[in-house]
Amino acid sequence: MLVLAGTELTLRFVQTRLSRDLIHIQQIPEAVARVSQSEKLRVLFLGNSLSREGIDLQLFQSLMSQKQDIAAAQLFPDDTSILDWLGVYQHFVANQQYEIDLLILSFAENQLQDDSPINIRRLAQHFTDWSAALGLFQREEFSFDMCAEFTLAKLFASYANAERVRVRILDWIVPYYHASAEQINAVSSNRKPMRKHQPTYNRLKQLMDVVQSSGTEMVVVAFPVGDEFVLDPELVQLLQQEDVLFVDARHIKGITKRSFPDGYHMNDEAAQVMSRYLARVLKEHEFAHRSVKTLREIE
Amino acid sequence: MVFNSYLFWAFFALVYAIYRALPYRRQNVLLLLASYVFYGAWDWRFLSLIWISTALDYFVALAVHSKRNIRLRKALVSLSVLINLGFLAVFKYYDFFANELLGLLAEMNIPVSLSMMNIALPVGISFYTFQTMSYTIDVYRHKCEPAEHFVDFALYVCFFPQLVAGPIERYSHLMPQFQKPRCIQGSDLSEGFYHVLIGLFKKVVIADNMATFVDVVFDAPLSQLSGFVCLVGVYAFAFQIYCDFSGYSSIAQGVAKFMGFDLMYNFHMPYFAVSPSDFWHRWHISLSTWLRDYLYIPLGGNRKGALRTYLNLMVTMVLGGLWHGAGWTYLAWGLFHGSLLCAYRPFERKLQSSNSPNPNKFVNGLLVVLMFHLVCIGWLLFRANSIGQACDMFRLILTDASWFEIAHSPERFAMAWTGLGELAFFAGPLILLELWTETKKNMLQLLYVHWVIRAIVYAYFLLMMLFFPPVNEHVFIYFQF
Repeated sequence: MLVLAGTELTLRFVQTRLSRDLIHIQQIPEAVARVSQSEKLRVLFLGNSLSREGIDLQLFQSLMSQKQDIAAAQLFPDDTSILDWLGVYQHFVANQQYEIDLLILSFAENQLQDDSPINIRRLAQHFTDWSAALGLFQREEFSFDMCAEFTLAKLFASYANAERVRVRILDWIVPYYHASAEQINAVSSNRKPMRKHQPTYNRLKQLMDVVQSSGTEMVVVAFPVGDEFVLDPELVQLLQQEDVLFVDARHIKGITKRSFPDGYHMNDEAAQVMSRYLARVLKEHEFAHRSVKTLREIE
Repeated sequence: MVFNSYLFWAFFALVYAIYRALPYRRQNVLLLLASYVFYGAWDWRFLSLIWISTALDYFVALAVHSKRNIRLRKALVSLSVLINLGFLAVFKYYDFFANELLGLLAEMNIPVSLSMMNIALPVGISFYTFQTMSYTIDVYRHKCEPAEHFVDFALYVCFFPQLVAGPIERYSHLMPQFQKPRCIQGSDLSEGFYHVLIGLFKKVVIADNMATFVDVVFDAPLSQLSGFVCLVGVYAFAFQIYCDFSGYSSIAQGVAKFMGFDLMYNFHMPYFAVSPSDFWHRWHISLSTWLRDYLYIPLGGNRKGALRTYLNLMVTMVLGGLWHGAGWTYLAWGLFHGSLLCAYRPFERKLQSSNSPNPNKFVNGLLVVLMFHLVCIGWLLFRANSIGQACDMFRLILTDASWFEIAHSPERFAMAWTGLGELAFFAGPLILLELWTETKKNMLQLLYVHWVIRAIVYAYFLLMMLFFPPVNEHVFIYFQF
């Protein structure tokens, strides 16, 4: 017990040194507060490492400023998807009653679908209040074990951040761990059974409700990745119904297969192309008009 | 409801709190109800199978005991065995043999249609079927008296700690414990805690972490594999299956101990075996002794000459292989182990003496290493998706030209090095602990060391479970048997 208590205290003390992702999560409240208090147009990017690597924020800001001065911040916790983004927005923006003018949500593959994977521990520790926990359990139909995992992660930083400690130690001790983990993940993901049922978007609907109820405009951007993914027509239809601007940026001139050195994230050059493209589309649409058009329609 | 789930421990905490407050007769009723809830949580429909099996063997044993007529007694016990094995045949083997028969007939251009059952295998059916069968046969052999109370007998059949994956307990060992009040002492709790902790460590930290690597190796096309990665994959599976199954058995032992019951040891550090016979005295002990007592010895054992002994060994091991599942790989695994037992048999007496208290340590070490690798060949057959895959991987391990490049370009074998590194990191400390336990000849030696040392070992187990749970959870392998 003493060892566990000591571990917990140590983890609480050093957790921000475990990964740059944790440092980023710690900085989110400050970033959101800074943007929301600005007199300029307040823009938040919400996504994961795809938008971290795929958007050059300075370039985007300077391009947008030709039309209107903006204050922008990027929220990109690693390996997150729609349930995390809903949590991030509720926890750091809506619950704090911060006001934002524009939320740009970026995604790829199945990250907006309800069956995208859930990292319960991270959700509990970083993106959910106790007051929202019960609602989350009911809405997501958490099993007993998931509720227990959530509660433990909410209470103990050592439990919540175990995965990060694991990766750090194995990376340090086991030869070629990082390279092999990617290889093993790739093989494992190929083995996943084919989807049998139609995807649903309840989490996305809830995020849109929360965002729009505070008068914030929302733009959803399909990001390019190394291997092309198919867009679900139901998703596009849903966004149209909800009057959300959808930008299909999967195929942009200047971004090719070679723009993804690790097969997934854009390189700097591609990020600049992407940022220019996004700024141009948003300026063309003057997002306040709420016109819904996909990239293909624009071009 | 698996042992490595929060739900199980919440369930157990509730049952245990009530259990401690009740007198022992009511404790038995509580445990029976809890066992049915535990089993019903898997699939309540299969509870009916347990109930039929329980009622059948309870009444047949009473009848066998009360009859004097030998033919009638034999007929009754045969009826029980047939019905019990009938359940196994239908649920476990029918689809496999029907499928193989259809394939054979199709090749002979004989059109036949057979409908498949395509139903899930009832969890633990092989375990509780063998347990109830041993009871009826023991009553028939006058080795034990039939159960007086139906509740006690029903609890013997479905006692939840060992219901779904053993150990396959004998009536003479477990039943007396249900028939008298349990006296739970502090030493029981500390022993139970030790069993649970090491069991969870084996399952969560070693078995499930190895499983990811093993699955990747065995699911990859042969063209993407090297002999090195295949070998590490087999080593990893050897520790996955050992830690998965012995981890389960250990947790079962610990949970039972908390309630004042002694379950038998199902594993005794099997990878330190020096011969096949020694291995089967250490691996899945409850099954190997069951096969010995109810199959090998009735077949004649070693009493009918050398040739018959070899035949009996082969038959026993092949059926032991098939007990694990309906598949050619299990059959081949049984055949392989039968062959090993036959091949070692002429030297067995000598080898047993090398395992005596003063062995030649170097020779003993060589024998252990050799036996471990022979067991690994068996695991390759056991884990492979087909016999063809097992043969291909074995050939690759032996003949892959890239073995000579390992030292020159280790990065080409990154995955194999990672697997080996993970194996050493996760399973290495357990091997050292078991080596120490083996030399001390006491499975509970850790309970007798200074409390500071014990606390360090326990803290290590806890921290490993905290920081190294598997990326993906895996169900206990032996649940499917």
